Parts: sequence; C-alpha cells; structure tokens
Amino acid sequence: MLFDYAYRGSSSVASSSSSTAVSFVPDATREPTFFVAELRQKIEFREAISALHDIVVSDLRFKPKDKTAYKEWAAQREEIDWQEVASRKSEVAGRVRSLQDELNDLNSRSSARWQPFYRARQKYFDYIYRKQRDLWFLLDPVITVHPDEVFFECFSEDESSYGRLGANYEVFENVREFQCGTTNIDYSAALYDEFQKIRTYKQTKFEIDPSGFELATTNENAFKEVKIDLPDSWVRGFLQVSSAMSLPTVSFDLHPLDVHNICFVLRRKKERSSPRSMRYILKPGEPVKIVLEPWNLEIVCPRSRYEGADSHEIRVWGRRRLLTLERLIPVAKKFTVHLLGTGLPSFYIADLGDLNFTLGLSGWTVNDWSKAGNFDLLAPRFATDEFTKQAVFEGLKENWFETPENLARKLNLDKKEVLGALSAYTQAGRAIYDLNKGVYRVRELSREPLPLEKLRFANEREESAMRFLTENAVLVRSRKPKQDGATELAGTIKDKGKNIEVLFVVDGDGRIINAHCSCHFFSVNKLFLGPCEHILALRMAGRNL
Amino acid sequence: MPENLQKFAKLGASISFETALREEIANQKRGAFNILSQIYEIDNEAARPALLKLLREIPFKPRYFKAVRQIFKASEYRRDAEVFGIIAKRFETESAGFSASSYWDSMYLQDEDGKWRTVKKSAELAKEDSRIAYSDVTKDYFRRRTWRTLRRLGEIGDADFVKMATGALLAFSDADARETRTSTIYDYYHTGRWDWQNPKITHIYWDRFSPYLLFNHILYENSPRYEQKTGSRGFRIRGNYKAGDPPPTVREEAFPKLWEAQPVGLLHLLSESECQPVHEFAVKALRNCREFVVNLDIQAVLMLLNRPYEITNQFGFELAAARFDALDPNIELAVAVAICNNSEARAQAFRWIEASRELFAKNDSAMLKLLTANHQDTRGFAANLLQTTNYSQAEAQNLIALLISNLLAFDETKQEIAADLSGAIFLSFGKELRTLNLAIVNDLLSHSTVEVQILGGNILVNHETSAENLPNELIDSLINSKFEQIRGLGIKLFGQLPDENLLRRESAILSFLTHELADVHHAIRPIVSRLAEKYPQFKENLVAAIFIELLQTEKTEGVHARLLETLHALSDWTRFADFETAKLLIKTESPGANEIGGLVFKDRSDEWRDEFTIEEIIDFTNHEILSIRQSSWQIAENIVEKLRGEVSLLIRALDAKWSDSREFWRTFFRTYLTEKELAPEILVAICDSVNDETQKFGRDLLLHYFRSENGVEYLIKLSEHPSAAMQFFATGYLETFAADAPERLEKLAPYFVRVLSLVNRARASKDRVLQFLEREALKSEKAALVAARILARQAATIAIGDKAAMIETMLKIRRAFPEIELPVKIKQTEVRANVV
Repeated sequence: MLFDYAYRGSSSVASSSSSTAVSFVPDATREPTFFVAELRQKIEFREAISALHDIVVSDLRFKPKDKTAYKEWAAQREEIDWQEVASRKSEVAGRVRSLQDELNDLNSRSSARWQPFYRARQKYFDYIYRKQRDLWFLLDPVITVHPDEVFFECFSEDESSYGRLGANYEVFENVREFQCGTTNIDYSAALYDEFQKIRTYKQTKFEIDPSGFELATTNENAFKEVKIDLPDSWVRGFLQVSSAMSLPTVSFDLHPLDVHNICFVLRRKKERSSPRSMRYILKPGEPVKIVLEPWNLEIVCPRSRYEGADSHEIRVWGRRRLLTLERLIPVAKKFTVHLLGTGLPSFYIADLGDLNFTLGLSGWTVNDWSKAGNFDLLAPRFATDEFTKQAVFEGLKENWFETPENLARKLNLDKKEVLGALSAYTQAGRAIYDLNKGVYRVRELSREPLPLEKLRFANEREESAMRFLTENAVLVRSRKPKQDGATELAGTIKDKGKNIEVLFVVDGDGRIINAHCSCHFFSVNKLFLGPCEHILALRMAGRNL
Repeated sequence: MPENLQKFAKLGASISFETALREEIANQKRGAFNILSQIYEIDNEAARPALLKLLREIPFKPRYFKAVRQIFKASEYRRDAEVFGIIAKRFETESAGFSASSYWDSMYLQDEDGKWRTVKKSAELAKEDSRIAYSDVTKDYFRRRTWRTLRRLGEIGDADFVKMATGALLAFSDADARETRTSTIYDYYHTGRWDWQNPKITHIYWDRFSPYLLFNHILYENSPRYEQKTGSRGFRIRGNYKAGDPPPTVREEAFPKLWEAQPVGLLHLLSESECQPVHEFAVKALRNCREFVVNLDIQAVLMLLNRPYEITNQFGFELAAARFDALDPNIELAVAVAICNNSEARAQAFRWIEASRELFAKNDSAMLKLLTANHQDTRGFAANLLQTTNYSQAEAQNLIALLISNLLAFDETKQEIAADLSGAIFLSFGKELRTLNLAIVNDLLSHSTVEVQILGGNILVNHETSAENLPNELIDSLINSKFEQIRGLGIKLFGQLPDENLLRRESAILSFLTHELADVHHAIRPIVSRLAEKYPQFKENLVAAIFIELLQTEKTEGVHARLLETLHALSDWTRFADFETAKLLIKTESPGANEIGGLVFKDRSDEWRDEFTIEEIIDFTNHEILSIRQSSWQIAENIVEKLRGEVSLLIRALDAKWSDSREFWRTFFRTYLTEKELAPEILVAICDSVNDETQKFGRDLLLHYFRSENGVEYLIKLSEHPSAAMQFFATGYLETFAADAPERLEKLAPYFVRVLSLVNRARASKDRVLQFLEREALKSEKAALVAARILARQAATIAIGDKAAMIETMLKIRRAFPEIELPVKIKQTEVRANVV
C-alpha cells in the first residue's frame, strides 16, 4: 500500500542550555491538526517517547548470521591441510612450508597495503548507514489531538509491536492553541537524540507546528514529499493489533518491579530451545505467577494480586518485545496487563500519572504462516447496517471520544449495534479503543480510507477458512498431547458436501510442524505454499477448545 | 518453341530472354521439360546465360527434373564442361525427392481434390506427369555417374578430361565447405559375441569438402590423406592427417599427366576458382610445368598476384620476382605485388619501390592503388612514401584532386582505408591544403564517414581563410556534429576567432562550458582560461554566469563537477561572489554548487564575519560537504568575540554530525573559552549530549572548571541524565554534595529510583547509591523516610544481591526508626524446645 505525505520542512528540536523546543511537522495534506504547549512532566515524557522510539525501530525477526567469511576461511584451511598431508608424503613439506611462509608474508603485506582502502570503505558505508537511517522508519508515527489528551501511535518494523503514548493535558502547561484531529508527523533518528536532552530544569516547548498547514505559494520545494510503500502485511498487523484492543480481555495489574523482574530474567538468560513462551497463571485472589519457559522459571508477583473471578492460564510468545518497557520502570506507577488468550495479542499499559503508555503485542513476533491464524481479528463482529454505522461515527466525531454506553444513549440505539459499528470502524483504522479510559476515539490512520476488503485476509485460503468457521462446518474430533509439548489435532471439515479429513501437529510454540489433509490443494502443494484452508479452519476451531 | 522466346533468342538480348523464359516456365502446366531441353539445343549467346542461371536454381522436382536429366546427358555428350559442372555439383548438394526403397513400393500422395491416397511408386514414376522425381537411388546413381564419365575420359587419355574436370571444379567454391565433423562408431560385437559393456569405438573424421564425391575424386584420387571406402558416401580422412594440417607435398589428383599436358586448364582454375583446395591443387600442379610457367606473360602473373588466395599470391610473387628487373622496374608489377595478400611478397615489393621511389611516387595511379590497398602495411608504406617525396605545385594538386575524389567515393565499409588515406593526405600536403577550394572542404565535411569529415575539419582549422571569415553556420555545424572529434575541431576553430570576436560571443562560450558532453567542455576550457586571465570583465561575467548555472538543477550529471574544475583553474574567482549568492549555492541540492559556496565562504569569511548567525554556523558545521564545514570553522575563528557571548547556542556545534567538526569545536572550546563563558549550566549542557565523545569532553571540562559552590547544581542537574555513564559520574558527587541534606535527598529520589531500576546493569552505580542511602537513612528520620520509600518500591526485585542489601538497610531503618512504615515483617527466630 502506498502512503503519500508532504511535510513542510523537517521536525526539529532546538535545544540550548536553558530550553528545548520540540517541533513536529505534520502532514500538510491532511486536515489541519495542531497543538502548542509547554511540557510539565518532562522526565516522564522523555522516557515514554524514548520507549515509543524503541518500538518504532524494533525488529526482532530472526536474522541468520552471515557466515560467508567464515566459510571462505574454513575452505581455505581445508585446502591448506590437504596440501600439507600430500606434501609430507612426497617429502617436500619443508619447501611447501617456506613457500607458505613467503605467501603468508605477501598476504600480510598486501592486506597492510589494502588497509587504508578497507578503512575508507568502511567509513563510507557507515556514512551511508547514518544518512539512510531514516529510511528504516516504515510509517512515521501518528499523532492525534483530542479535547482531553494528545496521543502518539506507532507500529514496529517487524509488524508485531504497537505503541501508543497518551498524554493528558495535565502533562502540559500554557496550552496555547490546538485543533483536534489526526496527522502523521515527520520523524527521524536525530529527533530521538534530541529527546534525550529534555530536563526538568529546561523550559520545554512542545508543538505540532500550526504553520505546517500554511499555504506555500512561492517555493514548491518547501515541501518534503515522502512516499512510503508499506507491505500489506504491516498494515494488516497494525489493524489486527489495534482492533484486538476492543475485544474482552483478562486484565490485572503488575507492580513496576514485576516488569523489572521479567526483563531481568530475559536479560540474563538466553533461550536456546523451544518453547519460548511466557505463561501467566492467574488464580482469583492469589498473586500473579509468571512462568518463563523453557527454564520453567517462576516469577511470583506478591504485590500484584489477580482480582478476576475465574482462574486462567494464558501463554504468550514474543516476550523479548517487553524489553521496550525497560525505560518506563522507574517512572511507572503500575502496569496493567490485558490478555486476550493463548497465542493472541496482549497489551501492557504503563500508568505514568498523567501519561499512559500502551504496548500492544501481536501473538508472535514473526507472523509467518506456520503461526498465522489471527485473521478473524478483522472479521465483522456484529452486523450493522451502513446507515447506523454512519450515524454512530458522526456521533463519535462530535466529541472525538465517547464510551459506547453514552453513545448508545445519545443516539438512542442498542448498545450492541453501537459496538458493532464501532468495531467495524476500529478494524478499518478509523477509530481506536482506548483501553486506558475505556472509550472509543476517532483516529483516521490514513488520509484515504484503507481498502479493508483487500487487507482482511492474507490470501483466499484464509477467507475460505473463515467461511468454514462461520458456517460451523468444522468438527474437532480429537486433541492429543505428544512429546515435547506438541499437540496433535484431528478433525473433519464439511466442504461442498464432502468431508475433508484434517490432522496436524503444533509444537510447544504453536508452530505447525506436520500436517495432513485430504484436499486437492494439500496433495499438490503439501505445506510449501502454506497450510490449506482446512488446516487453517481446524486450527482456529481448535484454539478455542 | 513459343514465338516471343524465338524473337528474343534471335535478337540476342540475354536479359529480356531470361525474363521471357521464366514467364513461360511459370505459365506451363506440365513443367519445363520440353522448353529447357530445346533451349539447350539452341545454346546461343542469348539463351545460354539464361539457361545457366536457371540451371543453378531450378528445383530438382517433378516438373523440372526430366529436363535436368536430359540437359545433363546432353552436356556429357557435347563435353560442355560448364553445364556439366553446374549440374554435377547440384547432384551432390540437392536432397533426394523421395526414398525408393526396394521392398516398400507404396507411398502417400495428395490428389488434386486435396485427398491423400496411397500410390505405387513404380506406377507413378511410369506416368508421363509423374508427381515424384529424383529418388535417393537416382541421386546416388548420378553422383557415381559424374565421376564415371570423367574417369573414362581420363583412362583413354582424352584431352577433354581437363576441360570437363575444370568445369566441375569451378562449380565449387569456399562457400560449399562444411564444418569438419567426427562420426563415432560403437562395435559391440568385436570380440565375437555381444558385449555391450566394452564396445570397440572407432572414429571417422570428415574434412570440410568430404561430402562431395566428384570434387574429391578429381582432387584426391591419389591422395595419402583422403579415401573413399566402399559403400561410403564421402571421402573420409585417412591415416594421421588432421583437418586443417598443411597438405602433403605429393601430387594427389587423378590423372596428373593429363593436367600437365594442359597447364592452361590449371591457370584457368587459378584465375576463376573461389575455392582454397582447388588453388592448392592447381599451384602444386603448375609448379611441375616449368616450361609453361617460365613463358607466362606478365598479365597472368598480375592475375596470380591479385587473387585473394595467399598460396596463389606466393606463387605469383615467385614468378614476379624472377621477372622483375630492378634497373627497369615494371611499375604495374611492383604495385600488384605490393597490394597482394602475401605479406612476404609485399615486403619485397616495398624494397623494389624503395629502390626507385621517385618513379613510383610520381605515378599517380600507382600511388592511388598503394594508398587504398587492403593491407594496412601497404597503406602505411605508401603514406610514408607520399610524405617523404617532394611534389611540385602542379603534381601535388593533381594528386590531391585524384586522392580526394577517390576518398569522397568511399562508403562506411572502407572506414579504415578512408582514415589512413585522410591522414596521409593531411600530413603530406599541409601547405597545399591551406589553399584548397572551400567547396571541396564542404564536400568532405558533409561526407557520411567521420574519418573523411575529420579531414575536412582539419583542413578548415589550418586553412588560410581565417576563422572569422568563415561563415558562423559552418563552425556551428561542426560543433553540433554527432562525432566527438569533429566537435573538438569545431571548438578549435571557434577558439581561433579573434579575442574581441570571442568576447562578443560570451553566451556561446558559456553554453559550450555547460554543454552536456564532456568533450565540448574540455575543448573550450583552455580558451576560457586564456580569455579570463586576459580580460577581467570577461572573468567577472563568466564567474557570475557559472554561479547562475550552478544554482539551477543539473541538466546532465557531471556538468556541475566540470564547472567546478573550471572555477578551480581560475585564480581569485571567489571575490566575484556576493554573500546572498554564496548562501543560495549552499542551499541548492547539487553537491558541486554546495562546494563552491563553501569555498567562497572560506575565502571571504573575514570580510563577511558579521553577516553570519550562530544557527548558520551550526548548519554549516553539520553540512556533509567538507568545504562548507571548513568555512564554518574559518568563520568561527574570525568571530571568537561574538561567539563568546552566545555559548549557550554554540553547544550544539559540539554534537555535529561529523567527527572533524566535533574535533574542531572541542579545540575551539578549549582554546577560546574561559571559565567566564563556561558557566555551570553550559558545562552541564555539554554533558547532556548523547554523543559519548562530547559527554566525555563535557566531564573533562567539568572536572577542570569545578568549583565546589556549584557542586549541588551539578549533582542535581546531571542526575537527570538518561545515560548510565553520566549517572555513574553523578554518584561521585553524592557523598560531597548530598550528604546530611534530607531535602536534597528528596529531590534526588527519582534519580535513585532510576539507577536502581536499571535492568542487569550499572552494578557500581547501584552499590554506591545503596550504600549512600543506608548511610543517610541512619542519620535522620527525614532522610530515613525518603530512603524507606525508595527501598520499599525497589525491594521487590529478584536480583538477589540488591534485594538482600535493601532488606538489610530496611531492617536497620526499622531498628533506628521503628515508626516508619516498611514492607518488612520481622519474624522471631524459632527457638526449638530441645535446643539448649
């Protein structure tokens, strides 16, 4: 998907020994949105915005080590050894050795001569790296100004972490002018460096530059045009995580030191085998227990009691993403955790007083097909007609944010219908659910509405799998535990009057490691093109057991 | 015979006869059988060329084959070597029309109604209008028969053997040569029984002319290197000979005596054959006819020298060498040897010509032949000859006219020759060419090949008519040529214009300077440099124009870089720039323009010292173009006083993107700024940097200018720093500036929490903080209250060392100030009953 922005200049932070002025340049092509104020809670803001930056640049996908240099070297060694073996036989080892010494000497001299070149080249690469660094930020953060708070949102490069920093107006003082709305801001790595210079003793001005919308008449070049080609999967990930927020969750509070303890274990230990999950054991009235696999290390959180009515055991993956919360530990009062279920998105809300920071994590760090299966997050939840939807959205726009109850009362509609309409807008990226305050907020992710039909499913197999689920055509026959935490699932799916037999095994980390299906797609492609619709459907049905 | 054919045959016009004949054949339903045979009967000067042409191309198909067969047999009877040769060769090359298998006599044929029916081949062949002809058996038969005819002639010693063989050999040319190939034969039965694992493998090698039976019979009947095995359809290589090796010295042909008796036939072959093996044979055979060879006339020798075969040239050269008389040189002979294909022969000819150079050099036609020879050495020799000969005015003009008229007739295929000839003319007749008619020069310039155009351009550049008298369009057309050399010549010509003329055409000079082609730019640059050094006004205009060009978007990559070089080559150009232009240059996208802007600022920083703002200096110091960074340093050195007053803004320079800039500013701070300017808040701001180098620099300055009355300020401010290194640095001040002051402790509480919350890091900082807290907490209740709050929060850690230390401190606090609330519960040690 192509996103176009036009910025009037670049965002900048001007800092001197006594003041800092943070000036974000908004996207000039969108509805004017601006905000000018002075920052009051400076340190908290600094830490929170730094955490947000960590999310933007985080990419925890597995990157194989580049071993070519080593392999070359090893091949060379191999050759040399063979040469020696052969030479000993023909009794010319001495000569070979002297030649080898000479060669080594020549090599070292040659490498010494090349050294300046290599050094200069490395310097050049470093320069390019620095110069192009801003290309890494896939989508510039989104800023929304609402009558009660200003919030920043971003989504990580690895399509798995969502960050939202909300700031009450209490965070600011001398709020001079503002205009509600949503806009993208120009963001760069240099800004992050400047944020680090925010101090309590420096006056800190914060603005989303209103002059960014002034008409430029003389110089066309004044606009910095940015075109970003975002992968569909990225946008889909963003929508999935943000629409997951509006689903019912299991929630509880954690003391900041509990998060510190989780990070502490993750920093000290490196998992070398599966499963790499984190297991929340929640029993009503008892301290939250967190088990970190594969070491089965148990962290008991005596200061955090689970207050819910039912006990749960929920596993989540991709726990290293929690390390982005590290900077918030000293400033946070508590962390509220919202869990959707095993293998589903989870949310961590840091309470920083008047600031709140939400970290949303998708089910897994890597959303490849072997773990896929969150596509139902974008499925419509309650059928609402177009007219009602429109009315609900207009109603929401009036005050920019509203609880569903209030909205239902105001519009004289059933709450169910209001919720259905709101979730549809959330899935389309035009509204979000604020977990912190329990309200829906208007937030247009992009200038043009997103093509949701195109984004909903990664491929047509997911679509058919969804159809099987809605038609209740899936029958789970058995679920057997296997060794090493793997699970075998077998079932039957009714597809066009035929019964399709499906069987697959997922490992301890929820990856499909072996599968069988009697359909044509599977018999032709096996798993090379990803699982067939029947396997996907059974997997979804099996998850709810 | 049709009437119009009769008419044309009588008229004797071969071409119109051919057209009429083709028309007639196309009109006939049954084929060409009757009419072609009849024409062969007539065989007059009008009919024969048309017939020969047709015989080379008519298909060996049912409509025609009968005629071919009849004409072939008639040619045998008439001993018509040419027709015999043409048809004999076609028997070798045409593929058979159908396969006449002896035990499968039926085949499918398409009837007129479009349906396919089975027919008997024998029955079909017997029909008058048979639809099949020229079977494989027929083909083999005729291939045998051609040689049989010749063999019989040879065996009875008939003189016509040579005539017929010559005709047959002339039908073949080098174009008929095939690729050499190898057949591999696996014999699985060579041991007497079937053994598939160990076949006997034999290879048969076929040479380039192996498939042609008649050809091989005539040339290689007695050859030690080729043979025909019984049943084989070609001559294979025999013995150890390999395709491409030199031929053996022995005579290989059939009936050598007959050839020797009629050496004219051999000479005929040499003069007309286009086939390498035929030449090899004929030269070898002719060498054995001494008497004939000695008496050969000079025309024959020239013919041998002019053939495109080196072996024939060599032979001709031997004959020519024997005949050449150095005292009375035969010009034609020597020139013929000089342009022949044999390099040794050519070298000898050069010696002959050298011996009487005047004679050759003054012979116009000889010089023309030598200068336009196909071989480069001959042309080089002739050019040398031309250059070293003194021609009179008239001689020179005649020769130039002849050479140029020939040169103009050249096309693109003779580029190399044209280049050499042009060079030779230009080098030899410099004086005469100065007065050459401009019309001829124009002809040369409008020629299609670049080499000829270059000659025209060179003549123009050196022409007595000075550049200013040449029409402007002529020079422009040269400069706009698509050939680089011509453009160079055009600009050279342009540069010859008198200075005042050039100064008038300033815009043209600039357009050449900013030309998209590098060569145009390079050609004009010396002219520009010359003018610029001579005329200051021109220089000023030029520099201003270059600035304007640099301010625009680069049309083609490289233009700005070239302009940059031009400016560098000028002296003292920076004084022509004004401040606003330089600023604009720095702001453009082009690195070349940026660099120029930087150089201007660097040179004139002193002059403009008051114009720069601090923001500009900082922007320059962050710029990726070195000259701009350097200019910022230069400016800074010039306005130290002003900068001293605005240090708080200048701190950002220490965080420049470039290490050289950072290095400069550190030195600047150290050298020019004193304690007066480096107030505590400035030092702290330097430490606030995220750059490790700058942080370290800040810490060093801080230690250097440290005053204890500022200690508290340092501690409070540095404690807010997010980096672990600075947090550790701040712990050093705790003891001195935070001890015994509970209100400061309160202020520092967030700092302690921050240090203690670092995950798995900063051990030394944590230890210092914990120790400090413990000491302070025990001093006063107020301090203990603060410490207790911090410890209560942090004690939930699972880092055992920290947890233990914190619990210990909390216990101490509890003992000292029991009323302070703490998350510790002291359990009484269990005392067991039996323990005494």
